Amino acid sequence: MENIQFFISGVANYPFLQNALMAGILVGIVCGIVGCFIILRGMALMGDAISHAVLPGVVIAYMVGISFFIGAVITGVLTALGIGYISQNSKIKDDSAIGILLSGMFAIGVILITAIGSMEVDIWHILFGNVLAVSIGDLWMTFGITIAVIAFVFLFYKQLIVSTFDPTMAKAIGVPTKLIHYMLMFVLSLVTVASLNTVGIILVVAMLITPGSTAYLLTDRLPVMLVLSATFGVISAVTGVFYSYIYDVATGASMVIVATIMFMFAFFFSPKQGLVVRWFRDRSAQHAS
Amino acid sequence: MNSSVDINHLSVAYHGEWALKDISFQAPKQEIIGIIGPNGAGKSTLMKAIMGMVTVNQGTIRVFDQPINEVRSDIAYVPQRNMIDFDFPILVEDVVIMGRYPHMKWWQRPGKQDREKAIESLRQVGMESYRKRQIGELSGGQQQRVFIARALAQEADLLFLDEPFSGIDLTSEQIIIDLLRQIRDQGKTLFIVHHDLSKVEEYFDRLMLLNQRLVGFGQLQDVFLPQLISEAYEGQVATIKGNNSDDMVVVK
Repeated sequence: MENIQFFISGVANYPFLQNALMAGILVGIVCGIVGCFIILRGMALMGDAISHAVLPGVVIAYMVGISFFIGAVITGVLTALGIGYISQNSKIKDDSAIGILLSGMFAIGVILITAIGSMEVDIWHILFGNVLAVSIGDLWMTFGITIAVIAFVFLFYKQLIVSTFDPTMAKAIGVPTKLIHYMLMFVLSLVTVASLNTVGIILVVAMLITPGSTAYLLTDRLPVMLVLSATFGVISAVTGVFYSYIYDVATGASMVIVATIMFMFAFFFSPKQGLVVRWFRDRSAQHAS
Repeated sequence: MNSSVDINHLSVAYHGEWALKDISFQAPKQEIIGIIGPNGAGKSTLMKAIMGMVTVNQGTIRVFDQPINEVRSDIAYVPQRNMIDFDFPILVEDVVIMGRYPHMKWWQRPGKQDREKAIESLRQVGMESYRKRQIGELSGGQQQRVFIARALAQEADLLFLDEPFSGIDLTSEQIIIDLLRQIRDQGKTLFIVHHDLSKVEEYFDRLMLLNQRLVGFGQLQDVFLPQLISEAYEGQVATIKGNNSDDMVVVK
């Protein structure tokens, strides 16, 4: 209780904490929504690849003096194209192609950072976030990305559903499935940039996959899954910022731990699929027979 | 003129290898047409070519006397069950509503009429009471009927069914074939990719034997013959009932 009061007065008094909280909430929403489609399309690893591939883009953007955005989107989408190109033009399977480009791009980023040796770009902050450094400008950018992503999902909802559920039908009725795929990769790069300060490159995949998976265990309907996933993202973000403020630990990691704990709860106790519930049901079924 | 699908000298290659070579045929309307042939015979490729999903290297395809792009919404597709993720968070009625998508503008949402059409289609396949179920809760045969309802909701005149009887019990198979006959009798044309030779005589009005090239196409009595089948299957397995008694022929 005391902790909560301490946190609330902190939020009231410190702009950095307000910014951190807002950024966390936005990241929770946007990752939660995009994550649902990533999960249903079986692209979790792809999400990981794109988020890592953003690193060299961010560093180059910093070196050239342009927005992080542009650099991140360029290397993110190029990596997505590269993965597709390798798996279509050789016997290398998708997951290997992803692994190769993920680590290759990430290595380029690390080399660049160490080469410029600047004190201003702290690799730790890019990799794990630095939520104390969220500026008003960053906040607006994150807000803009969140709105753009929600608009994308809303406008292309039909196309997203049919190309995810039944790609063959989607192609047959003329939905541009390839374009949808690369649009999602583009969105993934944007989301990674939006999450850079809050959770960082390494852990962003957790904010994409974990709240969505929790929601997936709890519902049979995509619209409900989207809302639940965004809600779990926000809960993880707020609780994560809270604990990191109270105990002075890394914010991104705290958020991810909260998300993971929620997932474990759903995994064991969800009414339809929960392990514990299933165990009880099987037992009573045995007794009945 | 009165054909559903009219194909002239069609050839399709994948990665430099022929999947289909010089296929020509004219399929009539209002029939159930079986496409059979061994694995790798190009059955799916042919189906995808007619649906306008693969690059055609040579030849022309016309559907209802028009280029494919003009008639896309008039062609429905019933997927092979193992191509679908049945854990997908979607209800039966929302699957059927997808059949309405080709009739909507890219930004439009399904309206009341689309929903009514979907329910009506579910009623036609006897699945109306399942409309609020998640798709994975149904049996294989029921799932297949839901996808057929989706094709009905699309109001397409040409239907492609990819292995609709695989992994389905005999009772459901009978329900489905009865349903398909009803649909044919409403004036629609159905192409069915089928992998085994059993029930061929019972199910199809017309048969296509495919093995990269067109081995045979026509009425059952002209095509469902041991020499043509063994030609299509290149001496691989198969047993067929002969005309008189139980003499079986053929290959493996």
